[in-house]
Amino acid sequence: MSKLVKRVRDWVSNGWIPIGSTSDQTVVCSSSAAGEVHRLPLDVFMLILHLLQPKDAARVSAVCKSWKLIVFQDALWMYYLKNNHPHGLSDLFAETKLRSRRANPHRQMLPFMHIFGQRQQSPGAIIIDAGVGYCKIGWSKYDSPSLRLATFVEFGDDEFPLDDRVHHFIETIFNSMHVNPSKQPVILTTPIGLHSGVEASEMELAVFGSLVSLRVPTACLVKQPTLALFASRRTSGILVNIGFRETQVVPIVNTYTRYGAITTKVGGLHLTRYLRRQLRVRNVEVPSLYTARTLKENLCYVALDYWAEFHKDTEASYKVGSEGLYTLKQERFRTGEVLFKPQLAGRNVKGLHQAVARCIDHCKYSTDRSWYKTIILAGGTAKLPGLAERLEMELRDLLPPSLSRGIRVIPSPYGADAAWHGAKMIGNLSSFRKSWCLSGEV
Amino acid sequence: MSKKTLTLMSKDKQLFNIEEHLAVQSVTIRNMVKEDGASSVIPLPRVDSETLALVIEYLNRQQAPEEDEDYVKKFVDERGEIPTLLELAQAALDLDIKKLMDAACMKVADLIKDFTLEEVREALRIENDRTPEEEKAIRDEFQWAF
Repeated sequence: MSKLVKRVRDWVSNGWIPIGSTSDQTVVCSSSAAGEVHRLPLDVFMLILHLLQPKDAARVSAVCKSWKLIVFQDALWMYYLKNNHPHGLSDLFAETKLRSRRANPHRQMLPFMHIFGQRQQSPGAIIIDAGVGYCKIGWSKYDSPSLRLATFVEFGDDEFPLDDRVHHFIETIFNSMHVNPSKQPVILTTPIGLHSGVEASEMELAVFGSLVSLRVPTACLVKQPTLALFASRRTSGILVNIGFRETQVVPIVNTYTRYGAITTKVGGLHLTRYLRRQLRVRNVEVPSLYTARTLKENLCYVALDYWAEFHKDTEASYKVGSEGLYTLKQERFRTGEVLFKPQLAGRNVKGLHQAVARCIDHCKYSTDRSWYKTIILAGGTAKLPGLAERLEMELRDLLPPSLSRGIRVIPSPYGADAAWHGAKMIGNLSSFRKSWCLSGEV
Repeated sequence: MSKKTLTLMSKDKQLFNIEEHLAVQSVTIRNMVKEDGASSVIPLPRVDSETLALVIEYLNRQQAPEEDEDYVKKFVDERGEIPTLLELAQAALDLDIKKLMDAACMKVADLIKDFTLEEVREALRIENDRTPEEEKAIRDEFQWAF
């Protein structure tokens, strides 16, 4: 509230005076008593508007003409957008930066009050983020995906034709969500990680065919890395997505992928398998990869100094459901180390830091020198504590000072759901159907 | 602490006395006292005497801290008229008495929420300067709010 008072005062002192510029700023309306004017202190009025629900503020804009002028201020509606919702800051970012898919500096900006109203009335979208390992599905108006399916389980056997499998898969999704596919648009993330060995374009065609037959009103395809970047409220940067089987390092400038992405064949699955193998050496049998994954998510981390970590007491335990208590020691940081030393898990590929450094090196001829120094992490494995700090340190060691100066690695707030949350921003946009969806019917 | 008394002067030149240790709940007065001892009369050019009397009543309350929140709420509830509350909020804003200002603004917001447009206009004696057609156009434009 005190921040609000300060802001209101700033507006007033900045000459933000809609009507009546006496030294006491007041809102002047004609009064019902003949010939009189009604004065309402502006700063108090602004404070009260901020305390109202957006709906009530829109309603009172009809009281009189001066009230409408004041209620219409963009700043007020940006405040509502930001504070109306736990994800308000993301909503505000989306409405200011992502309203159109193609950047267009000449486009006309709607008043925020209209934007707010359009969002209120929008049906949202069903988001299907089919990763290689898991598929995250949910309605964009919800706070998080409501359904997670193991992609490889639901997708079926290779012996059936691709179209049938895709159709079965998408139908399963709509059935499990209990929604009518013809009611709202669909956002699909690409690449659609349903299966290896299938051309991306072939897969997209099959998916579209299936959506048409389900009478989905319209659809929108967006790249996973771009969406994950949006989720961290940015439109430029190097996005590092540590996926199920592989890690992608993708440079993105103003929402466009540029300078070639780099992929290394190390992902969360390899870390989980390595953890299980280490425990087996100690004669601790972990019954399934799911259990190993739970242990990884709850106990593992990335050491800042790998060799020094061996001299510390790192023992910690975690209870997995009915299976009992597991105690991990060195495995806790050796598992995460696979990202930097894939050889530990028998993968003969470059480490994460080397891939990112190579990517930065590719970007160094870009005219704008700042964007590629922000590295954003995404993916379930990116949630390992200590990863951002370690990667930043490794990059400083690897890169020449001119490139490493000002480098920042941003940890992932949404982990595996990053792309889903980026899609949520798009799906709730006031301009979603007009500027992001395919025109006409799918 | 010595019981020093301060004098506040309203817009209509009425004087009010209040003990300094109570008056400094207002951040504005506290700063004035810090700066120059505020020995003379403190003028409050935007606050009328009725409102200032209310503010003084509020500052003079003798309340245990844990009951204070309820007291402020009750205090503004008893003055449920929007124009009075607005004056009170304005005075509390000028004097920087946060709790009173928050409570008064909150109360007005609560009242407005349940009022029809006509009731808002009546409470504030505002004339509707739109024709019925213009008003209908606004209702149509913001259907989601009505």
